Amino acid sequence: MAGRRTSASNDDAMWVVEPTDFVSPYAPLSDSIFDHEVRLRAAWQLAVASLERSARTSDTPEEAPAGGSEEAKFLSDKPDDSLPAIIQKLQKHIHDIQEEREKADDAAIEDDGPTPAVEAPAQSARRSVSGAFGRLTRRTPPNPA
Amino acid sequence: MSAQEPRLDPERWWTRLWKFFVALLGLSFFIASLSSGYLRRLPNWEWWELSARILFGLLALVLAAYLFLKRRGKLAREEAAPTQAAYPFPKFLDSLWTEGARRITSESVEDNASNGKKPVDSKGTGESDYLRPIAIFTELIMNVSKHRVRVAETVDVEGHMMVQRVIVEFDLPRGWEQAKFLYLPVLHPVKGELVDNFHLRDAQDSSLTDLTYEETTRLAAAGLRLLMAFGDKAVIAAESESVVPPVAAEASTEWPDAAMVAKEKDLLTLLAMRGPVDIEPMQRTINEILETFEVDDLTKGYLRRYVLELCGAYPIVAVVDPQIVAGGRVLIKYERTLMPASVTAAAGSSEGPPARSRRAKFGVKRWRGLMRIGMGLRPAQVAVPISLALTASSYHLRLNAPESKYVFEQHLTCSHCDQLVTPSWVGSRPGVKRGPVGTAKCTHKAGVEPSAHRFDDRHYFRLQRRHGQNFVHLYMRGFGAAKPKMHDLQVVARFKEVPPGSRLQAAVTAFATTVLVIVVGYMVSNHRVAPESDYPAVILALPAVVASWFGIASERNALVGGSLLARLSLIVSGVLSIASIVTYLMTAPTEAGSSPPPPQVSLLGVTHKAWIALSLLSLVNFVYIYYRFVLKLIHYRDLMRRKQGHGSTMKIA
Repeated sequence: MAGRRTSASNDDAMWVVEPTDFVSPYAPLSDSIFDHEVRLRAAWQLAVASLERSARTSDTPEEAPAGGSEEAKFLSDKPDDSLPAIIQKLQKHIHDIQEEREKADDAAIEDDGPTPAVEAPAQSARRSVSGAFGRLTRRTPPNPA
Repeated sequence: MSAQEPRLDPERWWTRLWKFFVALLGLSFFIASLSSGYLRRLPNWEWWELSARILFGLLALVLAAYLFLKRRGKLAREEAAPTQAAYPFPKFLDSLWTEGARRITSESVEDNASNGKKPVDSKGTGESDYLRPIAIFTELIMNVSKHRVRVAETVDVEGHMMVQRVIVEFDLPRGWEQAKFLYLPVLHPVKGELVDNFHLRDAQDSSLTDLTYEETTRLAAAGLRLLMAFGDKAVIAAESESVVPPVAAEASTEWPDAAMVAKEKDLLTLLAMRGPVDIEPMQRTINEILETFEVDDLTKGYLRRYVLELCGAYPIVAVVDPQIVAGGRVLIKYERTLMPASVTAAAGSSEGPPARSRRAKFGVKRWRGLMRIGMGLRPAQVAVPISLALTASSYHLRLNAPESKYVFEQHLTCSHCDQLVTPSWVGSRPGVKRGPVGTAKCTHKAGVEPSAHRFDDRHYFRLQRRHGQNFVHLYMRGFGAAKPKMHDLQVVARFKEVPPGSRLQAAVTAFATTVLVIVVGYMVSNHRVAPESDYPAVILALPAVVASWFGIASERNALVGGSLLARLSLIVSGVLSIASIVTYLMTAPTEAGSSPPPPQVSLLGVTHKAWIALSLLSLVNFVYIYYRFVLKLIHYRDLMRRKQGHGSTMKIA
C-alpha cells in the first residue's frame, strides 16, 4: 500500500529488553505421548524395573559398561581423586592437624614454655586443599561435540 | 588497618604517575590558552598571542580527550568474565542416573525412600504415583505451545524498573485426573540467565513452590529414562497387550544394555550442562548421539525434542495440587523483574541492532539518542521481545507506561532488520539473507498475501488502535504452531507525554524569556534604564532559574523519559537568559541624560544589535516550541476522538 511504512526506522535512544526465555525451534507434535497410553505404561514398568535392578546391583562394585562411547567410559570411570574421597582425605588431614595442635598446646602448658607455632600445619593444609582442587579442576571434562 | 597490605604494582603506579603528569600538562595548556600578555615583546604580538592561545587550547583538548578515552576504555573492561558452559562431574551424572531416577521406583509419594521395594501397584491401576506427574512433565516439555493455550503478559514500565507479570493457562494432557500432584514447567529461562524477583502463584494468588536445580535435573533424568524405555521393548510389551509388571520385569533383564546406558549418560550430560549453550551445535550433537541409537523413529523424535528443550534452558517447575485444576485447565502466574538496556543508535553496532546502527551512521538522528542520554533524559522508546508468543497458542501482551504518557507509535518488528511484521510473513530458517533489507539472522520471509475471500488458518496478530491510551495491547495467535517459527520479533513502542506536559513548561519559559529580553533590549536601546541599575539583570535571571527547576523536576521516578525538544528549549531559554544578563552588564548605560539614538533598523523597538540578536533567537525558540506544543495537542486530541473500530485488523495502527 502506497505511503505505508515498512520499517521502524527510528534511531532514538531505546530501552531494549533482551529475550531471556528459551524458545523451542520445534512446532507442536501432532500426537502426544499420552496418545500411546499402553506403550507409555509399558515403558514406565520397564523403566521402573530397570531402575530397581540397578538399585539392587548398586551395592556391589559396579562394572564399567562393556561397550559405549568414550564419554561413557569416562563417565563410568571412578578415579581416586573423586570429590568424596578428597573431602574424606581433607577431613582426616584437618583432624590430624587439630590433634597435633592439641598435643602441642598440652606440651606447652606442661613445659610452661612458648606456644609452638601453628602456622606450619595450617599452611600445609592450605597446600593440600589447593593441590586437591587443582587435581580436580585439571581434569578435562568430556566434550560431547 | 587490614592485616594484609595491598601489594604495590610498579606498573600501576607508573601508569598513575603518567596520567597525573598528562593531566597537569593539560591543565597548564588550558590556563595558558586563557592567559594573555606574555608575548607582548614580540613584533605583531597580537597575532602570535592569538595563535599561541589557539594552539594551547587545542593541546589541552587533545590531552583531555586522551585521558577521557583511556579512562573510558578501562571502565569498559571492568566486566565479569563471560559465563562458559560447564559439564557436570561424572559423580553427579552417576547420581542422576541412579538416585535421580530412583524416585520413580517408589510406590507412592510417602514412600520415596527408594529402599529397593518392588514398585507394586499401590492403587490397583498398575502404576505408581510418579508415572503421571513425570509423564505430564515430559509431555509439557516436548509440546510446549500445544498445552500452553493462553499466555497473557503484562510489562509495567511505571517505576524505575520493568516488571513482567505473566499468566499461563495450561490445558493439561489427559491423565491428570490420576495424578496426586503435578509438575508444571512454567518458565524456560535460558541457561546462564538469572531470574530476578521471581514469584510464582496460582489463580488465587497463593504462593506455589518450585523445584530446585537439582530436583529439576533429577526430574528431567526420570523423564529421559521414561522416554528411552519408550522404544522397542515397550512396543513389544504394548503389542502383547500385557503390561503387568512381571512382563516388563522380565523384559527389563535385557534392558537397558551397556550401549544404551552409555547413550543415556551422554544425553544426561547435555541435560545437566550449566551455562549458556549454543543450540545449533547442540542439535548436531544430539543427532550424532541418537544416530546409532537403535530405537524406533517415534522414540528418537521424542528424545531429540526432550533433550534439546532441556539442554538450552532450566525450566522453572511449579509443583501443583490437582485440586486447582478444573476440566484440565490450570492457571499459573509468575512475576519477575526485567533489566532493560539503554541502546542508542550512535552507540555502535555492538549494542543495537545492526540495521538500526547502519542507517543511523550518516544521519542527523545519529546524535539524537546520545543527546537524550547526555541531557539526563531517559529513552522514550521501549522494545520488548514477544518470545512467549512462540510458546503459546494464544498470546496477549500489554505494555503499560505511566499515566502521564500516551502511545505515540507502536510497531511489531523483526529485531534484526527492523522491518514491520506483515500478515504475509512466514517463518524460515536463519543463515540466508533474504532481500535487500533482511539480515542473515532473520527467520522470516515474504509469503502469500492473505485474501479476505479465502480460508486461512495461519498465524494472526493485531495491535490495539491508538486512542491516546498509555498502553500497547498486542494479540497474537498461531505463532507457536508455525513451522518454522519466526524468532526474534519484538514490540517497539514510543511514548510521548500527555499534553500539556513539559512542552508547555518549556513554551511558558520561552515566552517569559522572550518578553523579558525584548523589554530589556527596548529599554537599553532607548536609554530608559536607570544608570547603575541591577534590576534588569535580576529580572533576566528568572527564566534561567525557572528553566533549571523544570529541567531537574521533570525526570524523577520514571523509566520512560520526557520530551527531548522541551529539554532543549529549556536549555536554550536558560542560555539566552544568561547571555542577556552578560549583554546587559556590558551594554547598560552608565550615565543619565543620553538622548535616544537616531532611527535605524529595529525589532519591536529594539535597535541595539546584540539585543536584536538575542530577541530574535528567543523569539524563534518560543515560536518553535509553541508550534510543536500545539501540534502535539492537536494530535493527542485527534487520537482521543478516534472511534473504536475493527478495521485495523492486521494493520500497524
